[in-house]
Amino acid sequence: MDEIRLFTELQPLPPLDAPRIREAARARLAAAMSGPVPIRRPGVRRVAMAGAVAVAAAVALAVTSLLPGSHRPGRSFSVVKLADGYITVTINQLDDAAGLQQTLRADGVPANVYLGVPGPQWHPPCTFDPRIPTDGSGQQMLPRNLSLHWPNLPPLGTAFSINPSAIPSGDVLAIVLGMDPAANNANWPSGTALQLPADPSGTAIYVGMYLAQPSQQCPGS
Amino acid sequence: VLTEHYGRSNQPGLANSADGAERANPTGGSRLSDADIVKASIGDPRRFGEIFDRYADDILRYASARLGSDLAEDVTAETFLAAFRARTRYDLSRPNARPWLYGIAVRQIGSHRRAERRYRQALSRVRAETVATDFSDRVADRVTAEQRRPQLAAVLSGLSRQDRELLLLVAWTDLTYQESAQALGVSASAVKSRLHRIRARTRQALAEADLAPPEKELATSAQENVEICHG
Repeated sequence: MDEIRLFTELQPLPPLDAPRIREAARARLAAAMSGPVPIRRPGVRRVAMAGAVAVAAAVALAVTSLLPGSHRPGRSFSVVKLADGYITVTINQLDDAAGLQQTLRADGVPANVYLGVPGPQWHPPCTFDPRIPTDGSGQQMLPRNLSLHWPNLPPLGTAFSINPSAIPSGDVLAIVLGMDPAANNANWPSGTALQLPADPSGTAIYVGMYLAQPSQQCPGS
Repeated sequence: VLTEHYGRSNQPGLANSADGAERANPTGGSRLSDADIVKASIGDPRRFGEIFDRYADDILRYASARLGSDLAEDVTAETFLAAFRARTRYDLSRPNARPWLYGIAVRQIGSHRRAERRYRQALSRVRAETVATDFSDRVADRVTAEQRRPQLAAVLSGLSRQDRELLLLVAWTDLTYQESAQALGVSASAVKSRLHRIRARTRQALAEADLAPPEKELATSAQENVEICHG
């Protein structure tokens, strides 16, 4: 009998949520790899999404909050391509949709990125792909492996991952980024249900994505 | 309750037998070593993600076994963040980064001593109801380990911190003795010597338990655990 072997047999099982833990850890590393480590400020509040969110008919939305002090000039976003093909996007500031779109396309994501303008007249710019099934509320049921952190955002709050290989052939991934200075959903299109940020001093950033048909206004490349 | 993930083959003289570059390359094609990737990541930080992809599961499993799932995320993330920040100091003569990462993980775990004590204490109480359903050749070891769980947990708690780190690194990872030595920054001969001492201590504890009446045995073990874990 090897006494060391007996201790081996006492090792607890891996956690059931190991994949979630792994990806949360990966997101933190991805943020560090993309540049200066994001500043963690005392008092930063993260807002969890309470339920399914829809914009117009089918935009999946997630909510987080940033303190105004988290602005980093010149680094509105970061995009990190990982070895397994996933791409982690970290949003630091809402001012460079074109830059993010260009970077994602260069990494193989047929993306159209837009800044959403809260208001009742706002409509998603890309046409939804009717082949994608929707749930009872009209929200698209995105492929399960399209985004690892969707809609549950990792601890850093503004990061999410995209798996380009999960985008159906011929489709465009529409990404909608919006900011609601009032940190509430009053100005968003009718039918949008959002959880109010827990911290009223935080500015809510809404990140939505859906699969769309390519068009002249929504080319994806 | 254990899975075959933990079928380890820690044997002296098998240094680098579980090298990441070889292990994860079933096709036999050329593949960059960990050292190559770490070196590349100095110029292109994003390359370090490949190190994470190779070893995150190992580190996560070990951190979870040591501290539970609540702290596993922090330890896993902080291990790779610390490794990322220290990559310029990585010894590029070592193709396999696993010992380095485990060494960092051990230090991260060490910063959670209170949680580690609590989790270790719980080891003595967990029962393994499904052991009898396993018909592998490890079943005898498993049954013995489960029957002796209180005594083994007491031995674990009674070890010095350095010996306990070594024992759990050898028993709960697939590091070789030499890799464990690298991870802990000690010599291979020190590892062998300390493991010899741990084996002897374990044998003695189990033998003493065999001589003791069952009721007294359990009471003594429980008391030992309480005293050690709240010390």
